[in-house]
Amino acid sequence: MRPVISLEDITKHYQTGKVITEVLKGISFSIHPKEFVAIMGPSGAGKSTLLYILGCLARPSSGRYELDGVDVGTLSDEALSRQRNAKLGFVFQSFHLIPQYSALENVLLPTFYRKDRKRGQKADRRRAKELLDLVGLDARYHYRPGELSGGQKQRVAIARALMNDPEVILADEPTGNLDSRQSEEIVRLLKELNERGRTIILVTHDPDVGSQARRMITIRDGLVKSDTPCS
Amino acid sequence: MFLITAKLSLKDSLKHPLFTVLMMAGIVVSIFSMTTIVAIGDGTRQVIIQTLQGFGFGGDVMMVAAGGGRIFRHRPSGVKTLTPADATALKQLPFVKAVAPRQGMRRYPVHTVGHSYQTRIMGVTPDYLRIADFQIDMGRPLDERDLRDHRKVCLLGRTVANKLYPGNRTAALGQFIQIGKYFFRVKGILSEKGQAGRFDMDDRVLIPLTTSSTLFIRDDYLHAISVKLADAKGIERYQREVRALLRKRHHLTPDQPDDFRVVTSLDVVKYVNKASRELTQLLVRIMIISLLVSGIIITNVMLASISERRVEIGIKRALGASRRDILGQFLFEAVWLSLLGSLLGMGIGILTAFLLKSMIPVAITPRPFVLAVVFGIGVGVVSGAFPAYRAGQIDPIRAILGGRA
Ligand SMILES: Nc1ncnc2c1ncn2[C@@H]1O[C@H](COP(=O)(O)OP(=O)(O)O)[C@@H](O)[C@H]1O
Ligand SMILES: [Mg+2]
Repeated sequence: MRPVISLEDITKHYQTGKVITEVLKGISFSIHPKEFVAIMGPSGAGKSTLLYILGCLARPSSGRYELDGVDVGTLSDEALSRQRNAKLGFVFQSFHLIPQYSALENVLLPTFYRKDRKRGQKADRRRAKELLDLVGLDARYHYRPGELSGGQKQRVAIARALMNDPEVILADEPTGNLDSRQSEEIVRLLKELNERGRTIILVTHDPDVGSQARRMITIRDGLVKSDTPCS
Repeated sequence: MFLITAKLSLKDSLKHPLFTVLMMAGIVVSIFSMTTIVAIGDGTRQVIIQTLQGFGFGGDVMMVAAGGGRIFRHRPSGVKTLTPADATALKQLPFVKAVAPRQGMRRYPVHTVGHSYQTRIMGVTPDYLRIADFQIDMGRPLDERDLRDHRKVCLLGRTVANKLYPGNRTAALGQFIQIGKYFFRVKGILSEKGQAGRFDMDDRVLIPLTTSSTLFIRDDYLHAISVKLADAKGIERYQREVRALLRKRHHLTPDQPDDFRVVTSLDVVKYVNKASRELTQLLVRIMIISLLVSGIIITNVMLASISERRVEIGIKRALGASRRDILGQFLFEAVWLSLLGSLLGMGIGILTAFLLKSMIPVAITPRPFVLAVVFGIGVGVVSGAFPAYRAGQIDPIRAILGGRA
């Protein structure tokens, strides 16, 4: 099977004034459809940077990145945005819901930037509600994020990530702001989604969370230190 | 789709009420002042037109006024070059049907036993009534004998009769009234002519021209001559001929300017147009300044608002919004906010105009509405463009990480 993600010698450096920080120094790996991968490593190792490159939000300084057969290095901002919208779903540590929108509107948000109109508005709303049901939000469609608990917010964020039926879900420390019970629930939800065929890439520094994945890539000093299947 | 976009945009801006209010405030103020000024301008223009119409400027009347320069002045000039002989000479011209020479338009105190009033005293000839289109309500008009004998008789305008004989102006007829230090017998009362704009046509007293020459002006020079033409068609040519005649009579060399003005109804129209053009230019200047100011306010408030909303922008970018989508969102917001602001400003402006109506002339026309809509959208696009562009350029990662370097 063709990999959905393939990285070849990806590097990334940041320049602040005259200081150049080399964050990624040559990362290569491939991820196949239906995998559940945890990217682990100490804080500051460059995990988030890597995830944002995978998410087409940042461009690598060098190297080649193919997403679903497309070399994204050559794409315009417009085309990259379309890749994010159609193929990627983001889940963030601090949820990043838009506070003035209801849960349902937050889930619908990715459809506003969709360029092909496969589904109509009514169908979008129906799907958004189904997804909120799927993640277990118990019909709180019209609640504002401020009226939801952390775990519930993260469920809404996951529903939003699923809205445009992406190839890959990218989650950056999705349990970082949750208590242990809520963390477990969110990890279980991600596991369930993976069992239903979703490809999930999860960034975490928490070994308990990382060990729930089926494959673990450890990053240290900007390089892949280990890449092992979990038991 | 548009409805949802509008709904979310509304939610976005309600989330930041201070920015929203500030953004709108600038344009509300400028459109408000513009609306009020347009209403006052249009009102003033209408008053000018009504005033000039009320002065009896028919197409077949021409007015020769003493003194050169601007065609309309508030006070008679002290120029003494226009004479009764000029009036006689004008009357000889083949296209002139009648002339009405006159003196004075200044206000004098007028007394009866119980009442006093300040009014305009005009020395006129019998033809004046016909040319200026006045009727006699009661009594008799001035006649040639009044003129020849320098009689101290007068005709009262309706307003003056009402002031001097309150409740019973008929009683004025045949009575003596004091003008300055002389006693005049009231020979007649003029029919009501009404207002010419803000100018009361009935606030005047007419006396024989010869009487005003001997008693008041103490000279026989004229302030104006109204000239009734045989036909209105050749008016521009007649004007040229009248001018040539007077220049010759006044011995003016080619390098000397006119010491009189020949005004026709065409000049009146031109004058009104010029006045309204000047008013419009003034308006445009005020408008440009105030829109510039509100545009600058909108730009700055939007820049501040956008830096506050970086996280939201980052999230939307992650979900697939392109730079252009973000630009569009903020431009859309700027446009509807400033459109709403300008409609609001227009509403307040019209309300203010209504409240001012009793004090100054105002007119409510569709112009402010058109201007408000055009400028509302225009200012929104122009002043929103740069901030919206900046919003699109924000690096999504930095935005998501909350400004971390
Ligand atoms: N925009 C940036 N500019 C400069 N340095 C950055 C930027 N983003 C991240 N870094 C640096 O890159 C390193 C890796 O950051 P990050 O990818 O967030 O690590 P992790 O997620 O593993 O904690 C850190 O040292 C961080 O300070
Ligand atoms: Mg991180």
